[in-house]
Amino acid sequence: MSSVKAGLKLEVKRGTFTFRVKRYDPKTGGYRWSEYKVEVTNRQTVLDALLKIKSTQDATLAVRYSCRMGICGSCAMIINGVPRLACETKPFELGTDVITIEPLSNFKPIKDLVVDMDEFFEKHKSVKPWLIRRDEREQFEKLDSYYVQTEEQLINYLEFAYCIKCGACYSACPMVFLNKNYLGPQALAAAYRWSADNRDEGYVLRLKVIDSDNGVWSCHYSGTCSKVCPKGADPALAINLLKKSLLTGKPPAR
Amino acid sequence: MTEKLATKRNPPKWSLWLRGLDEWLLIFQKVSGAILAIYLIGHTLVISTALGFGHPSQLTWDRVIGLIEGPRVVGVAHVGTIIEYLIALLAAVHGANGVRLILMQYFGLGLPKPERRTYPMIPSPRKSPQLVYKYLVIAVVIVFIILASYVAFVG
Repeated sequence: MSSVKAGLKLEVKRGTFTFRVKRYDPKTGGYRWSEYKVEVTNRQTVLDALLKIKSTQDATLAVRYSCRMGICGSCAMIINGVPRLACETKPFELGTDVITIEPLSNFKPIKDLVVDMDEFFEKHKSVKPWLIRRDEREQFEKLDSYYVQTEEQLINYLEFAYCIKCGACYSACPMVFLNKNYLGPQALAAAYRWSADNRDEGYVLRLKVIDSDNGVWSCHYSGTCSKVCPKGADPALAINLLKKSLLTGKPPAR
Repeated sequence: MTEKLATKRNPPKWSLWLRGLDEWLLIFQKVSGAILAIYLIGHTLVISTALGFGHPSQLTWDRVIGLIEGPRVVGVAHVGTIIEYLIALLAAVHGANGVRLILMQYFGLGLPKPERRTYPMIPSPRKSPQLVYKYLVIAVVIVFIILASYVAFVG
């Protein structure tokens, strides 16, 4: 253990960065930019810097966060033009002295960097992202057997199950911008995740939502969703696999 | 003043969509599709007029096509040739990329099988099979440009 510790470089660098924050003001209904200069170390994240600003410079700055470790998906925001998790992005690794922070696009703003996720979660719910069985009595009341799953069957959907619903893909998608009712990459990836699960029997029920103008057919494959996903969940692949199943008439491999 | 919920969504980051190959192919696909659709209407009208709307004669054909072709610009190329050349380029981009999208979405060309991944995770649009097909589209378009330039300007 001690040898491992000795090999680690514990060099701490310090630097002062300028944070330009785009803030939505609910009283006037407009945006304004605020600039803050903060000293951070190479171990600190953008979220740490924002919280430092909040505690030492401007208490009115609104930020949403929860776990600070890339699990909850609350702190997604546009950092230097790309939707990212503030808790997983380090100012030192961005390579710029001025860091621009904006609220997620394609979402309605609430205050400053906080956005309204209601529409996003409604769309997520509309694809029935839960385990659906034909026999509900057996599923909820007569619990006398397990739903068996092998390693191979797990891998069929595992990468899409990494989604933390942070909204980065939804914010990056040009088609969500063009079509307000488009379900978005996250909801469709969730639909594939459950349809490709061998324990699930609800693919046919999800078809009505997926196979529509606002479902997969609004996707024109720009691939931006997969490129910005902080968890590597690859929603573009899920949508293309859904399109393939719809066009060939075969349900997702499971 | 009371605080109220916004009714408009946050504006998009355009710069995010102007830095990737997929995004540019998407832009080309949409723009070329729109221009080709408009061109098709104009093309039909011109040819129908030149054919005298069902009463073809050499005189109307020569007059209408001569008017549309315009004067000579470079070598054997008329103004009409240059327009046709640009339209053919759009058709090449639209066709090559369209074939790629159809093959990918219908036959799953280049779509990897879902797998257990580890960090750093590279998204499928950035991985080799799909990237190769995208470069292939660009290669096809470049070859087409060379051939079309030869036909249009050299003879």
